[in-house]
Amino acid sequence: MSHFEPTSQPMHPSDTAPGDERLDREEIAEGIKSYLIGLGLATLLTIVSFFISGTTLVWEPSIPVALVVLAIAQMGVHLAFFLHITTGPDNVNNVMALAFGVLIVLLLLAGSLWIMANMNHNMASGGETMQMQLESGLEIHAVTATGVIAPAATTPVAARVPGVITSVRCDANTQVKAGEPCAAIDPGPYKIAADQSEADLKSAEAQLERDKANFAAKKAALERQEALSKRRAISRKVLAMSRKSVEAAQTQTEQDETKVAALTAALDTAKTNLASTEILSPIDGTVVSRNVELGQTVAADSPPLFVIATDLAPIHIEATISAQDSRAIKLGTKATFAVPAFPNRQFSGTVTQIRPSPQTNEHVATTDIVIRAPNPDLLLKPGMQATIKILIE
Amino acid sequence: MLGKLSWEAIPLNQPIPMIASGLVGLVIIGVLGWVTLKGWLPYLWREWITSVDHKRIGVMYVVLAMVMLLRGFSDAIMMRSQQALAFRSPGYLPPEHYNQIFSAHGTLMIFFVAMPFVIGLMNFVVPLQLGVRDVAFPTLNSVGFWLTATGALLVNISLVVGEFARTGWLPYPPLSELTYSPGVGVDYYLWSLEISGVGTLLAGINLIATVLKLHAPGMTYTRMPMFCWTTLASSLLIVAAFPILTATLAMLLLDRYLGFHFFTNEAGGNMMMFMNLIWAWGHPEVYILILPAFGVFSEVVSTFSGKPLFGYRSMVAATMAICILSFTVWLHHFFTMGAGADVNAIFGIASAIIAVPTGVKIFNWLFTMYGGRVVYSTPLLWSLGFMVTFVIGGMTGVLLAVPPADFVLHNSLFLVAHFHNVIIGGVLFGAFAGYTYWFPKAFGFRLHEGLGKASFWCWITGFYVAFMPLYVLGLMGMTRRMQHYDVAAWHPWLLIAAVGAAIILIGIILQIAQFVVSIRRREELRDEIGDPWNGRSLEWATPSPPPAFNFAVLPNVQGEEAYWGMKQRALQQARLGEEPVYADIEMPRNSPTGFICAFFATVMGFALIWHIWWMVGVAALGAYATFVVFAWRDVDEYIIPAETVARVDRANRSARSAALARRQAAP
Amino acid sequence: MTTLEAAAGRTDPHRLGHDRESPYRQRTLGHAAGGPVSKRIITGYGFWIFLLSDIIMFSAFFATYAVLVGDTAGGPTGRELFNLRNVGLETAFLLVSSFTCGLASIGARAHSRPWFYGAMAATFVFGAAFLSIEVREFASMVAQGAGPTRSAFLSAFFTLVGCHGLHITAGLLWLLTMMAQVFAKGYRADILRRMLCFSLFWHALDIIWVAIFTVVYLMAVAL
Repeated sequence: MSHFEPTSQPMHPSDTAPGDERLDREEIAEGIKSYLIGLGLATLLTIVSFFISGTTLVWEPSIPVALVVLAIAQMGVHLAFFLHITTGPDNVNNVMALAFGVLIVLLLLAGSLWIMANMNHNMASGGETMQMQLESGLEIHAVTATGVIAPAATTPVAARVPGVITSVRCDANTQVKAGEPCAAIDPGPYKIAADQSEADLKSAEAQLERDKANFAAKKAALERQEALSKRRAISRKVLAMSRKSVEAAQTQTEQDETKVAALTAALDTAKTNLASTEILSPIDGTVVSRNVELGQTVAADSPPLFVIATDLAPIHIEATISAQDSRAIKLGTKATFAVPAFPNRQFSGTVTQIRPSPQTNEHVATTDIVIRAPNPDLLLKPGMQATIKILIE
Repeated sequence: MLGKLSWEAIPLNQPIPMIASGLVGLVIIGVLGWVTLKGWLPYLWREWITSVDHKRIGVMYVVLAMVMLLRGFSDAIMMRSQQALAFRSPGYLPPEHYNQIFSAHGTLMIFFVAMPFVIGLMNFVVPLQLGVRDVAFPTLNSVGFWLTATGALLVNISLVVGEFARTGWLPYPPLSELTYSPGVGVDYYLWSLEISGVGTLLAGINLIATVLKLHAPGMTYTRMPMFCWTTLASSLLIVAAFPILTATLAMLLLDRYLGFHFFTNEAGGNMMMFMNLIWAWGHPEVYILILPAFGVFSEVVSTFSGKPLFGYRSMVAATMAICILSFTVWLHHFFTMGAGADVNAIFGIASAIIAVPTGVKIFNWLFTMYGGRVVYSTPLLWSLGFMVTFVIGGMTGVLLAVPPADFVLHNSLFLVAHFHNVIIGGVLFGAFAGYTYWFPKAFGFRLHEGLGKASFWCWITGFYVAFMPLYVLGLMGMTRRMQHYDVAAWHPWLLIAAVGAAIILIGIILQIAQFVVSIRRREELRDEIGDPWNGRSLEWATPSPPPAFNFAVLPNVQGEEAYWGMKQRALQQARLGEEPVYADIEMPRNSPTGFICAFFATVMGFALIWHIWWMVGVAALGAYATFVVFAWRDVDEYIIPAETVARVDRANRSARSAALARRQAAP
Repeated sequence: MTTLEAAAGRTDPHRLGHDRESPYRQRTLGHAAGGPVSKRIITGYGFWIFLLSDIIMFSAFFATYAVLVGDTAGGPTGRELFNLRNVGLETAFLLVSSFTCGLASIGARAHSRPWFYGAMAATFVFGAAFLSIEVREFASMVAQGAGPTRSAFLSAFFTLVGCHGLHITAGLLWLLTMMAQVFAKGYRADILRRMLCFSLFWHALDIIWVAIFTVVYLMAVAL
């Protein structure tokens, strides 16, 4: 190979090593000049870059672009003045190699950024995972589960009388005040019953009055006859008959009074039933769920028509996790969760109940947990699906 | 003192690795003993281990590849037999062991069989074809080879000390992170590949500089043989892609060793980035493997058709197009991992486009054969087998490039069948073709032709019987890497596949037999003049084997197919060209730098794996010191006197004259 | 010499002029037709290819940094941590060291001892100054709990900038070795070839630093 090593510099080189100064310019001054120009230009570009990055004089979104352009310019300065890579014919191989390298770099950078941005965007929960923090350097595992958000305390509203629903005014997620009508049952039959009751009472009362008057009259007659009996003016038999009819009249009035009392109570019941056809909200709060349709027939043992929550702060989430994971979870363990409505927000709560599930799922023992979370800005609504993560060591 | 290393690292309770390593140990001791007793050690040290001659290094690369092929193939036999047996049964390989086997199989085959094979062929052939004396950086060549050998050694040590990775041949996080792979297996994998990756990079740099800057006078770029162009493209890809592998594996190492969070589950790690980067390397890697094989086929097809290669310029264009395009398709390895339809579509289209230049090449080879006088020698049989097999494999690849289809077939046995189809049908067949074609040049005698043909037929039959069932299984839904299964419909196909593996085993045995028989009968098979196939390129102008200096005088190249032109002139003039004026030749001196550096690299790798920190420091210092000692050397060349050159060349010239005279006498 | 001239006639019977030493030598531009090129060109070109591979390795780290830059896991961001005054100093030191390296390579080719040793020493001083600022920056970040194990962003930052720092360290070691080699063996051809490679390496590291200070430090403040 060195058989062909030239012993003197060829006059017209067909090829130059990269980084080599031009072989036919022996003057040192030319070489130094090239480096000085390079130093000067590079310094200038650096100063401009630093200045631009911190200034408000330039339109902000353009700053990254400007920085990249300045960096590329400075790299060009280095290549030209320090590395002597030119576009001359003796540098063809060097420039082509450089171009190939730059192409690969661009493909790798652009491709990676595009692909990863695409993936991160499509895998929504991925961003959450990436925000998980290390705690005191211990090995962290995450238990994940899903659950539905429910209020901490609820009041059911049931139908107290059977009948057909004629109106439904409240729906899930509506606010209600105490006493506000939520639904109505057809009052017809109950009104008839109440009217009938009232009429019966009235006639019983009338009867009572009559029997009372009768009793009073009979009692007065007995008193006269007792006075006469003292002067031996009437027989003892007549007196005894008078006493008997007074007793009968008394019994009759007592019976009447009982009947009146019963009918009064019956009227109360009928009135109450009539009133119960108006289904009112017992409390201020939010309707959590509605379980009734217009025209539906409800009975006294039907499930509650509405569930109303007084207070949506705090909320509960019931979730199921594997029994193995539950071993690391204690009461008070912190849990974080997210809901689809607010994908960028992380909510947190604590575990307040842990109990084994009533049924096993395909030979896998599971544990039910309840997580209690404050809901200060009332963003969390009952019914929302929550994706829960609990960090365990 | 010894980090994590203890006697428990040796798997005494596992019979299979103990028996395997016991056998290998016996073979190694046997070979070493035989070599020592015969007194060959000084010769081996002087002529081979410290050699910086591209021909010797090329041969050593191919030897490494073939030995590792045996180990990788044993893994394959184990996998096929396990899957054949494991229907509603646990088979004979427990899952942790099975996982290591398929991981080792893939790692060995890609990094320590396919890569060394093609690099070895490129190393041996390219300087000869360019008409020069050696590659650009001979000592660096030796360093590169020995570092590759280090990597292979580390993987094999894991069989007997410790364990290997269970993550497959690409260690996806989070499985490969410390949390889920706390053992040393993944560390063996990572350090082995980081070290051998340096070796491969050095080989790539060497070959680029050689192909672009070292030519015989008159050989312009468009007069280079096609194999040199594919070497250039493959080496450009090595230089472009292997740094990505180095960086990505380094990041995984940082996660494992220093608690960084590149790819971990927590603290912001993004494991998808590993997949993205590793396949940005992984796809160019497969083109690194196939392009030299394409080059081999170009040489073989044109030689055995007796015609110049058809469409040389379009071949060059297609090769460079494949080189660039191979960097635009990598996402097709992870279509199913969450990118959107737009990203998937672009990369799917690019993957379909990259099939076009390969199609151009296939047509060019066919047109080369058309109208030629075709000799059905073993290398040509391998080429014909390639053409059919690779086209099938390529078509299934284009099918997989369609994202909706890939969603069904990803990571099924269909995928496994596809890549074996193209790698065996493409790379391995090309490697065997090149091995058979250039064996006489390297050793001076041909390989036995009958056994060569027999082994080819066993290989190709065995391949189809082993892998076509896997396509069917993939379409039936069988996932890859299954240790056991209970779907009755799959069982018969896996039995057929096991039979195919057995047929391939016969093919390999025949190749070993061919080697032994050829050595025994080498006088019959002797290549007297250095041109056994009536070749067309410059390597056939040298004696077989070529002397250290390759050419007595660098040839003056006057057209494409330089040697063919020289032969035609000689035939016309009925005599050889004029005897040149012989002069002294300076050649680079041999150096133990490569071997010693690799020794320290092995120690350092082993120490890093087992956390023996003091040993790491010592080995690093040793490697640095080796380089400083090498840099201080004053005499780096030795002179071959003109008389020696003349003697060697005149012997070859008289052999060629005699052959020419015989030919004139009996045309 | 005589052998060569005689040989030229014999080896170029058709007077194609492809040999360098042929008396019929034509001027050829590229196309590799002039025979094997000189060792200096081959060495320089091979090292250039290696540098391009190194730049691709850095771009893998850059790509990782760009992807992970937002994944701070609740920890500190770049804007909170970076001190632009230090970065400016580092940039200035590295740029000046690149300039003095250029002077050193001129000094080597001019075989001028004071120039070569002086410029190399200056290069070392500025390079070491760069490194010391960087090491101090890393140490202070680790001390405030913002080490590489804190978050993916910090892992990526430390690896990218740290890899550049390791290359600078290796370069400084190489620099000292070059000075020792020139001292021991003078301006031999192979030593000059290595000096060419060293200066390529040092300038390339400055180019990578331009990318680092723009993408890592200035973008953190600007975005």
